[in-house]
Amino acid sequence: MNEALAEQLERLPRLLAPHVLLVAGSLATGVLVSLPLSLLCARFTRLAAPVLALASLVQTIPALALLALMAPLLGSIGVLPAFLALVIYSVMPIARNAITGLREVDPALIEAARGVGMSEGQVLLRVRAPLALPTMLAGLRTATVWTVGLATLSTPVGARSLGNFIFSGLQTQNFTAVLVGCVAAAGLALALDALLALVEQAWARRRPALALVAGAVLASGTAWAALREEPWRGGPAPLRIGAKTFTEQYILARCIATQLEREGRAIELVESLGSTVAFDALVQGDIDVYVDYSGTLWANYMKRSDTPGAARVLAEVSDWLAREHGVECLGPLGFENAYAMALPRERAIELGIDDVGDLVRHAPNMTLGGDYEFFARPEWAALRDRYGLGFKDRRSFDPSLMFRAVEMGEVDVLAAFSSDGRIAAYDLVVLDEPLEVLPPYDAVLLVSARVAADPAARAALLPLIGAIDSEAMRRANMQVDVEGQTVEAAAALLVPPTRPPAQREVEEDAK
Amino acid sequence: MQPRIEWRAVSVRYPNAGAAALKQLSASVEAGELLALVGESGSGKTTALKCVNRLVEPTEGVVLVDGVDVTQVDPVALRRSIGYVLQRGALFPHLDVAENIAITPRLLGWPAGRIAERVDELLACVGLEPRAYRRRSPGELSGGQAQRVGFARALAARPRVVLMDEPFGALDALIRAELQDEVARLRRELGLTIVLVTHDLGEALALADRVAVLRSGELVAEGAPEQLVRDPGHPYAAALFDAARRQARRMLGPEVGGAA
Repeated sequence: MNEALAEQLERLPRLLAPHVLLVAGSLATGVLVSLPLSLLCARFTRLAAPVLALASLVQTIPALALLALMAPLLGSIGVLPAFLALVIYSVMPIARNAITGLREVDPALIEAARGVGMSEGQVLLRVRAPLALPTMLAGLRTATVWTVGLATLSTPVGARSLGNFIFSGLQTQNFTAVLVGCVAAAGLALALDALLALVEQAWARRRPALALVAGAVLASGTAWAALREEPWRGGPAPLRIGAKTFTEQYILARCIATQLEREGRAIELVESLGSTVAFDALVQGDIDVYVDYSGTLWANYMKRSDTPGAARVLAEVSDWLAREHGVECLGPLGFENAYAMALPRERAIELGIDDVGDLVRHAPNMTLGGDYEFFARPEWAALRDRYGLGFKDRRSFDPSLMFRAVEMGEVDVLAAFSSDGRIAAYDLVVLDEPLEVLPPYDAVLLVSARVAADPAARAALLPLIGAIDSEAMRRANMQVDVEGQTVEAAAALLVPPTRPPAQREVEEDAK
Repeated sequence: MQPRIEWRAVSVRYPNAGAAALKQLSASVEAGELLALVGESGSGKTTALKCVNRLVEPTEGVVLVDGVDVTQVDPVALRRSIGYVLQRGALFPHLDVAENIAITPRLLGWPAGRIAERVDELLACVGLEPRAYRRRSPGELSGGQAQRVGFARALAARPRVVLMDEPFGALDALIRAELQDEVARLRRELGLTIVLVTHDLGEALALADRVAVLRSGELVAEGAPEQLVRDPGHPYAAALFDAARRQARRMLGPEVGGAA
């Protein structure tokens, strides 16, 4: 078998199990919420319209947004926000079908049920509900297929799922991983749908044995996932290492993992977190360590727009973190990953553009590309206003696609990241920024209060401080983004293990 | 003797409806009698029927069963004590034949063994071989078979009163005649008191001890079939009988229609 594929398939059980548990848990809860609700609506018909309207309204919220909103709303990351969002999403198709099914039972049969002496409750449970069951099951099937798909979006809020394949695969150009994630999610959806179809058949043909078979398969699948995941497991929690959704973060998370594992610590990687999700998670203690950038904290959280120099920014950021959030900044890793304006070298020479100031005159004919956050960040507002930059158009991209967009001429200038290996690979030049509007973006290692109070863990992480220079980071990023190496290989080269690496599970739940 | 069922000045006005569905109906059914309520749709005949088992509550007046005002009886208990037959049987499609018949005894908490015996007894009674039909699903039955099961279901808990709402509607003529004979036999054998709603005057005349003709919620004629045929007493009833007579004449020749 293809080696890259084998490597991804090896990750499959570790990501499939939590996905299955998440889906099973949220669907079961969805049913437990929807059924009583639907029975109530059938009994008190005036409830039906508002309940359905509310459920439909929830459905119009984009899934990714609903998931992302759950994290700050609950003040935590991980399985809980993902679970809640999926439950909310599953209620609509289940309740809608159940209410419709209960409502559309032949009135003559309801009259007959009353006529033979059933109480209203008995009419509902013995006649309406069983007759509506096929419609209800159809709703459950819809909800199941949706939930399996939506669960892949729970990765950015810190819940492991098949989405890990897709999010990290897209960022690190590992399309085998993306494919494995997609095929696994689709396969799971189809399999669950087929099992529920079997239950429908069993009911329609009065063959309880069929339903038992389907039920047994569903139960054993869930049991497998539960035994693998052991959500009830106690004991000391592993140290959780966060990573945002770009290559550099995936590499650094593994470097951190290596250091901690060398100390014999149990770790868990929580990858592909939204940018602000990561910081909030650290503050909440949902993750224990991750890498952020001084300028990001300075401009976005401290709301500062002055630029007093790298050392001052770093000192004030560290101070602020400790004072306001009880988070320790262990120190800078030794490189900077700044937002930087970049454009193709040929174009820069042709137009005579050396710095951001030179851009101003050409901007009205140019399109600027940036990542999802850039145009919403205070840094962009500052840059735009101070230089008077007025681009013809601006477009947001996934960071992994941004460079291709400039190559294909879709955009003229990029708001790129200075440590990105693709700047060199795509032969772009980074423009100087003479007014120093943008703050410095020193990569800093942030740890939770729990790690700060843990001398052994702290000691294990300290060797990373000052150990990675800009050139080394750019090369590591390029190995993944351009040369197609694995994140693990790049991490191993960046921070060589002092002793030969033992056979270890590098992914999410390494021992 | 006290009538088994009695309507005393019963009026029904449905919410959001203009005219009353039933206006000041006074009528009675003696024990063992079969009363046919005849009229076109909207005449109030089904409303009058449903007042007996409280599927409809009178706006004015009272309905008495064995001298007791039905509103003084728990509606669920009342309905369990009265048989109810609907058009096409209205069997529950998710239950098999035996389960359909067993519903009321089960609701009454009869022991399982007694229910099973009763189901077989009833199937045989309505002319269906128990072993062949017990486990059938309603979808597998013909219209006539389904209505036979409908009769069995209504009779399951040994009611003394059975209400039938267009029980022969939507059936082929031959099957209808067969089932009409069946009803006549069952009531004779079991001594049932029956209220039969039908829009078919011929059917009413053939089966009933007494016929009540309703029109727009009002009782316009009432009496034994032979008496009504002789003297309808109301222009509408007369027209109805005339139509029935003409139909019979068309079918069977002038001597039959003229004999009346």
